[in-house]
Amino acid sequence: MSEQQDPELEEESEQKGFDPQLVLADERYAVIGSILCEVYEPGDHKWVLSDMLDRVLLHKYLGLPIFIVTMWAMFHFTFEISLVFMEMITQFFAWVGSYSSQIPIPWFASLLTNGVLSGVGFILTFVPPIFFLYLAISVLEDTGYLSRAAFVMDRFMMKMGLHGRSFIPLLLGFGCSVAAVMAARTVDGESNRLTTVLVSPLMSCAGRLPVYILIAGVFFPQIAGTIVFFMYILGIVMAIVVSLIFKKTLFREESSSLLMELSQYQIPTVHGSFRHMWDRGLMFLKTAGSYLLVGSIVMWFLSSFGLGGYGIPVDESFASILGKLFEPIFTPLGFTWQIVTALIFGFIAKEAVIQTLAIIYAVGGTATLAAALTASISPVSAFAMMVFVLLYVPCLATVGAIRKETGSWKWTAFSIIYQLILAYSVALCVIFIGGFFIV
Amino acid sequence: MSRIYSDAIGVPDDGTWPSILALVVGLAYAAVGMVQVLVALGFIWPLIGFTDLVGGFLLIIVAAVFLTGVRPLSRDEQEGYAFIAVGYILAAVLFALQILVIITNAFGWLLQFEDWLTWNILNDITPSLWMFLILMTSTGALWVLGHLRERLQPAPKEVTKQ
Repeated sequence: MSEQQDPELEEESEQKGFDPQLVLADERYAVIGSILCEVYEPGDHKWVLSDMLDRVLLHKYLGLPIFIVTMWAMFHFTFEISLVFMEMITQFFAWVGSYSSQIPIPWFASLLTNGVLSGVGFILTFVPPIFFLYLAISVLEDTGYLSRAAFVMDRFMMKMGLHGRSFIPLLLGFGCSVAAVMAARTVDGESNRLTTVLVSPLMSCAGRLPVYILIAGVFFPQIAGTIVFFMYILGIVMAIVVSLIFKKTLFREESSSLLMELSQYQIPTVHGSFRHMWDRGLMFLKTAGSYLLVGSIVMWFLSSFGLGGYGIPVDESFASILGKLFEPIFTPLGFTWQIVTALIFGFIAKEAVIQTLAIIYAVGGTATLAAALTASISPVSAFAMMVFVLLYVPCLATVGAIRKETGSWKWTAFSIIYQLILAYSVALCVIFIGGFFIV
Repeated sequence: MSRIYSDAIGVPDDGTWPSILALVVGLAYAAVGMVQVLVALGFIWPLIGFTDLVGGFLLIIVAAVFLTGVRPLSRDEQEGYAFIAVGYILAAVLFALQILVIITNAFGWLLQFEDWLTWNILNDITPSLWMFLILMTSTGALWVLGHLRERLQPAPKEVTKQ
């Protein structure tokens, strides 16, 4: 069967008001069905069960709530289960730090304890939630539910005049924004593809997870899992809202139908799921062991040195000078210079936000990052910070991917600028509205 | 699509009892979910394990899945069993998740980590946990009773032609 659309069929479809793609798909499946009738004998129990589950999981009204339950379960699992393992890693690095701080050369002791261990060591405490998140995504993928999620969301997105297929790259954005941007090339239509490329970074990637876990755990300990879940939902909502705005203003291309093959549901294998988790999680470990290590040394240098040389108070360090330069812009959000500096370094990678905060406060002599944060910002500012981290540029690698996929510096610059404006505006809304609810 | 699954999953031809089961389970989950939401919002006196607002909404969604299956089952449509199956799966996921939370919290408490020193298992006994236990116990009891009934019924007499 030819992939080209039959002009007669297209004309007939237009006259009758049908979607040509749907008509073509119907014709195609009619042929497949007639062949199957001759060569295939139905009645396999596995298919029956899969078919049966789809009746409910793809239900017109229940599909979306069930998707929300699944999402909540995924993030609750990621957050709650990993807490005890995170504490183990924290204790381990505290134990190592108690020895490294006793090294007789002060600057070297500070570099190891406040730089490397507070930076890379602290970011490594987030290995358990990141691995658990990848495990949960792998299980959902292997069962076949994740493709159904795209199908469920398609109905919702189509109602808003958006392209349903865009949700598949967006789902990949839960793992990594670079993968999401690159997957946008599967979307039909230039403007649909561009819209997907531009909104993909709004989906919450694994690199942002440490920020949510830290802030939610410190400021909202009773509902921390729910807060993390909310941030991921907010990412989806913002991606849809921004797509809709782009669709109404920048790109006015007609949406096309989503046609996708839904495979049977499968019981995921332990080996397969853990293998996927390990392969993806390894990337995080490599990142921590390479440029986050270099970044922590650079950050320690900026926090320990200033115009007066080594050993000056952290308030006079280069990091402080950098943060204070942009601090006035973030004053309405209640962000201190330490947070502003962390957000600047977050342009490189989102993991660097937490890493930078840990190093600045460690060099400053604060006992724990949690204590330093509660002393410096209010819960509503902390929530605004999470929202800002969610919505501003994910990392340099994503910017590179956007440049490559759009082939335009103009769209790349537009992507960075709109995300910064969006992040700032929504964070400001959080401060205004949240002030009524959160003390 | 009526009765497409009946041979595969061995469901009874009459959907009356399954529809009653779906109705009862659905109403129970809805009632407990509503109570949890009201407790979390502070409209009702605090109850241990009922503090999570989102948890309450999740129970209501599980209830909605069961209750949506009532109508097709009462009309004797086998499609209704799909709702019961998915309802059980969702309830099982929430149950398993809570069990994992209890296990890891107990682990932290045994290791005497600071944040777990005041941990109390009662706070982790949430409605999603005990509702699933009640659901499985009652389903198991119904299954046993059904089988007993079949066994206790006198075997049909063989009629031989003289």
